[in-house]
Amino acid sequence: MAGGAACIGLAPRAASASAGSLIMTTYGGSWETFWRQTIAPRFVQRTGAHVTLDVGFGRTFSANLRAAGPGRSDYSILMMNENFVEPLIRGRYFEPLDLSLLSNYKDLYPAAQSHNGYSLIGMISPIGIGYRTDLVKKPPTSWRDLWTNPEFRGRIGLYNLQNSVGKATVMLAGRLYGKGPTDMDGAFAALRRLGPILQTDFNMSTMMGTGEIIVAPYDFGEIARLRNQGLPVACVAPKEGMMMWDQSFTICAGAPSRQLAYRYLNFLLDPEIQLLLARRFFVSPVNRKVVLPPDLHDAVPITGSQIGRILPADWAWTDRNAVELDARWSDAFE
Amino acid sequence: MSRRRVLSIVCAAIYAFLLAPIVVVIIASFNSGAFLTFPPQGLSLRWYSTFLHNEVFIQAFMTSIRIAAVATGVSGVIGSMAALFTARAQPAVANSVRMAMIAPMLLPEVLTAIGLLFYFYALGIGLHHSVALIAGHILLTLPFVYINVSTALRGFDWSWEQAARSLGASPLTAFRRVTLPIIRPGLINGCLFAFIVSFDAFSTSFLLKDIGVATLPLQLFDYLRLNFTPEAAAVSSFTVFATVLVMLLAERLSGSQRRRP
Repeated sequence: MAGGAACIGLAPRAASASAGSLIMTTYGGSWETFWRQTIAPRFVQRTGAHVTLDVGFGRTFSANLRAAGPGRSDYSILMMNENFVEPLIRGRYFEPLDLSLLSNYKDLYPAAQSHNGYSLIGMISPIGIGYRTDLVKKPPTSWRDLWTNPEFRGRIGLYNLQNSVGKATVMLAGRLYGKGPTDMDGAFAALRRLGPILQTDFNMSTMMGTGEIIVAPYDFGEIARLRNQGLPVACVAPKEGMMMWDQSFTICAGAPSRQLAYRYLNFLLDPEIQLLLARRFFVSPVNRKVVLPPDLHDAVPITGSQIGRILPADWAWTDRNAVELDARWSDAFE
Repeated sequence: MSRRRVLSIVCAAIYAFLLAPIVVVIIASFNSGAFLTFPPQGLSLRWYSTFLHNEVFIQAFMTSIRIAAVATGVSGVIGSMAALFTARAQPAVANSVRMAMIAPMLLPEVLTAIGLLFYFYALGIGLHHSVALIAGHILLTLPFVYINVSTALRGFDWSWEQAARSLGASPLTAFRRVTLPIIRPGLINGCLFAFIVSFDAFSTSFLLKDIGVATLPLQLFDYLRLNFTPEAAAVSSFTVFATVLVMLLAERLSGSQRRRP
């Protein structure tokens, strides 16, 4: 490892002076390790740029952007979930994407393409229903099974509203039992009918490992990792469609390394890098040119036309109603 | 059963209850399985080995040590000087200084950190060179040194220092030979608290860290968001052991000072 959570000087000084420098953001743990060992060195190899790796997540980066002010950030490109992106777009913290600088953009699946003009999705973790194969007699096939299968009662895990999937779950409940994804009354009436649930902001797997919960919204990649560790689990794509964790990329307004930021984004969308990411994190590639090898078919089952089965989320709506969503969630599950 | 015995049992039960989470984490750190569970699925040092070979965690640990050392050093000097000043100042002035010194302890840490975040960006410094991070840690730790040194100064007879001066000692010599030995236990305890508070600080580091910098609590938090192995318990246990070691050393140091005639 190049060492630590700090700068990684991966280019000779003379080269980095001419090629510029870029701050890459990523998440902690295995993500940081992969970025440090694979992504950053490959990007440096291609561009000769000097790279600094910064570990955090949407909330950290949002706070820094807001403190610096629009157009004054040290970051040029950010990776975060789209629910963090929406309010920052309104605050003019990002520039509209210049798609002419992204040669790989034309190969993206529609679900990954920019729908707001400011962000695109570089990685998709589809969320289906994960369950313990040794503790569930009747495997789920529909999200409605969470409500109707009596063996799930009291043993359901849900992501709370700190997590974008928690917000997507509200929209899902609105779709299933209300007038639509933004029907808050219908959604929370339905969620209340789930009965007692165990909620978490990130770590579902410990509860699944101990058997405290036997079913939960789960991303296919995490289920594959748990299975590799010997836990009897499976994940299904419900017939109504899936939710997802997205890794959205934005270019900061007034980016100090704008050209390099676009090169980095295009690099991440490259089929070769998309395959590396799929192999390491079991995320679904967003580039249609990626051909998954047979050994990844089980771990990354949602590809190609299946990507279109991911339900869209209205993050502008969740952002506008954040306070009410929080209050109603607490009320539903207190 | 005597009242004293009942009280001892109640106290022991309260301590056991408070310490139980730490004991659970330490036991979980010896888990040989792949999941962070309790009770462990077997005993092993596997996750300690993983931690000690994880350069990211080691670097974060060293960063935490460095920042805590700088913050403690600066707080030690400023806090002691402020305590000496308030011990001698007019009551009205002393009260104002006292309030200013302990204010960071009265405010929620996250509010102080947010204030500093916007302040340093307004100054044009931003988060560069860890200036904001170190300033935040100094603010956080200052009250601990100040309160401990102030307590040590309570009852201090200033005529001892005047006696030294009248016998020809310079102000610095009088401080070094008379005042410092008396405040030393308070200073050591204050610095110990300051170091531990800085080492464990999360909100301040979370909001004020420089790009590319991570302290151990931040690294652990980032790790735990997406990884749930017992390595996190091993890292936590390691910091508990390190903290206990520092406390024992400080106790020995300040204890030996107290015993000295």
